[in-house]
Amino acid sequence: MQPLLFTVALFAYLVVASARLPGLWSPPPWLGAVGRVALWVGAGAHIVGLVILAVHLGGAPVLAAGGTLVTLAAFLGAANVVMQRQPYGEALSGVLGALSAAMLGLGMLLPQGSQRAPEALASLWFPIHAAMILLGLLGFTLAFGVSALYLVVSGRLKAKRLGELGRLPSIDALDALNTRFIVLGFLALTFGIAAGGLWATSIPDRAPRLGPTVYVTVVLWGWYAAAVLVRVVGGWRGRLAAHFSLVGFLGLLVSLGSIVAISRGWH
Amino acid sequence: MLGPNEVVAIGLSHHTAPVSLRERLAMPTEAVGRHLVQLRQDKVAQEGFILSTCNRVEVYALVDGADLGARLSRYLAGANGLSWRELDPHLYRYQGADAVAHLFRVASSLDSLVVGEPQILGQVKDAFRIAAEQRAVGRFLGPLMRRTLSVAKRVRTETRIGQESVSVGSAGVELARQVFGELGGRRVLLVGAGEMGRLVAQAMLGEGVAEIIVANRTYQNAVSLAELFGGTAVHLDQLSRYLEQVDIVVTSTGATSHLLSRAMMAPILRARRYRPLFLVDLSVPRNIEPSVHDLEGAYLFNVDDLTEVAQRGLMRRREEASRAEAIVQHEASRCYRSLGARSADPVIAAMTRRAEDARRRELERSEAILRTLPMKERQVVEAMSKAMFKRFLHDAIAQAHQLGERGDEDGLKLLGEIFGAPHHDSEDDEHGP
Repeated sequence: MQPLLFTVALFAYLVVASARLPGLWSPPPWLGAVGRVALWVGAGAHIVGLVILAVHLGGAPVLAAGGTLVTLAAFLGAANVVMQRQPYGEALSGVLGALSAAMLGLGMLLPQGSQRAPEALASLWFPIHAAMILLGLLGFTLAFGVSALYLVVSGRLKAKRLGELGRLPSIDALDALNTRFIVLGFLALTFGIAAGGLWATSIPDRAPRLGPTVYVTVVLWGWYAAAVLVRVVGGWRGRLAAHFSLVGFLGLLVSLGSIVAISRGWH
Repeated sequence: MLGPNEVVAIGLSHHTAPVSLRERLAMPTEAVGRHLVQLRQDKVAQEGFILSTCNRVEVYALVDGADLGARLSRYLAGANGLSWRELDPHLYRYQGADAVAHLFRVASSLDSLVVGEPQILGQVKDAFRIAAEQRAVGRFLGPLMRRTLSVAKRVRTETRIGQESVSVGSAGVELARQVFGELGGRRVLLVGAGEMGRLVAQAMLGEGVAEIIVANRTYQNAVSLAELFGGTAVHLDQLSRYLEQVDIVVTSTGATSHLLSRAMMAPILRARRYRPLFLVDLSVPRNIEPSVHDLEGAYLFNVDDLTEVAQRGLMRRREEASRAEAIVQHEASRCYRSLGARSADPVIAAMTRRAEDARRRELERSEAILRTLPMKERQVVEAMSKAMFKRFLHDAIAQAHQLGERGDEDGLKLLGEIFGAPHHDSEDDEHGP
């Protein structure tokens, strides 16, 4: 059942992106309504499909890359439903719709998990670790979408393409959103890493070991710590902060993709 | 026609009359009320309201169908000390659905000097309020007033007619919004006392900016302008300090060289940590070196950019106006038909009254038998008699509505005679919205 629901969600997200990305230019009003309906349908089908998958696997599908991407895309879809109500939120909704479609599509191609969960996952620290890492990834993904839009709006203002500004969000609002999402992602990632450490030490008969995931996570944490320092502590604004989010997220995708290719799993 | 009467719109506006004539016909609020009373006392109109603004003076009235407002036109001239010959060439006259459509166009700001401006709707509401206070509107113009407000609202909601910037001031606000979103709490530095700069600053003040700081070569001029905006005056040599603090800079001076150069702005923007600075240079020759726009955090626009935004806004408003026009025409014909249906009200009321009388009489005749029945059965008989008469009248009432909508005066008269109801009864004189 869940493949059908995920397929419905994928098409709905593609409709959201197609209907709302033209918002970067000048959307006809009816296209906004199409995007709104498609987003509700997509997020609804996606969440129902995710619940069915979780029931089937006997837990949240976060042990395999595919399951994690499907889960992250579902959270992104839900965040999109909330954020589309913001002033001029349609263009941002189009960007997030495209991101949800890409993540869900990729997640559907990759293994989504097996029913035999390792005994080590019985620890109480594991769900905290997984939830925090997911929340962190969600924050960084949202920051990426917001930053991409920031660069589009800022670029158009700089190029004085005034006729193409349409109903885009202000750069100040996008900059503030980017800061919030980076801080959210960084805090969640920090707690996630700490919970992961506690989880690793709580597993009996298994010494904590370093691996590619740990190295990538530490580098990622360092990058976003620098971003928080630059933006929140240093007060630096504008394209510098946006580039931090873009590069960080792209680096995250490349690194995690490599890990999946090499080790066929997260841990 | 609405029964024996007709709704008319008679007036003049910036399209048809020069300001010298408009100002002579313009009516202050207290005069509007007086004229509404006079119009009804003199039986020039049965119902009416007057819209008097700086761009138009119009009377909307329910008048005798045979006269069609000829007396009203003369009244307008006479009441304002104008000769008929002087006024007549400038007057326009609409009747029936055209008068309704004209009112909808006016209230929706399609007939305004600046299409889409919002003030006219407030002025129309004021005109309605005065007419209602004077009890000058009733069965026909009361519903027309309510419909006018909802049509104007529909036009605003379904089109973008009022959302595009059409002046340099509002274009400046629109661009600033693209940088900051809402302008509430922002600080503006106005450099110079030029007229364009004042207009932009005024528009931003209307958007709720926190403070306007005025810098001018002549300090006394800065003080006067700052007083006007409720802001602060500073000396021109303090510019650098304030450039670090403010969000928006508007320059409008007569200086012949750049007041703000790239070399001067680069360290200022760095000190601001690239917090956005929106700059509007309205001076010719320009006061801000154009390459400042290339610096991170600076968004510089000149008078040509603002004019481009305003012209684009004007063009879009014209496009939206054609959509709004379609809404207005559709609503006007619908509204006029429903007003026509109201002209059948007296006939329908008489028909219903007569049927009810007949029903009561028949029940009274059978009272002796009915009294012997249990209460429940008596109630059934009562309900059944009501339902029978209602069903019997249903088609006739629908027919009366249709005759009213079509303006078929003879048909209504005939229907009224069949049911023993005089067509134009005293209800025509009912007033109050």
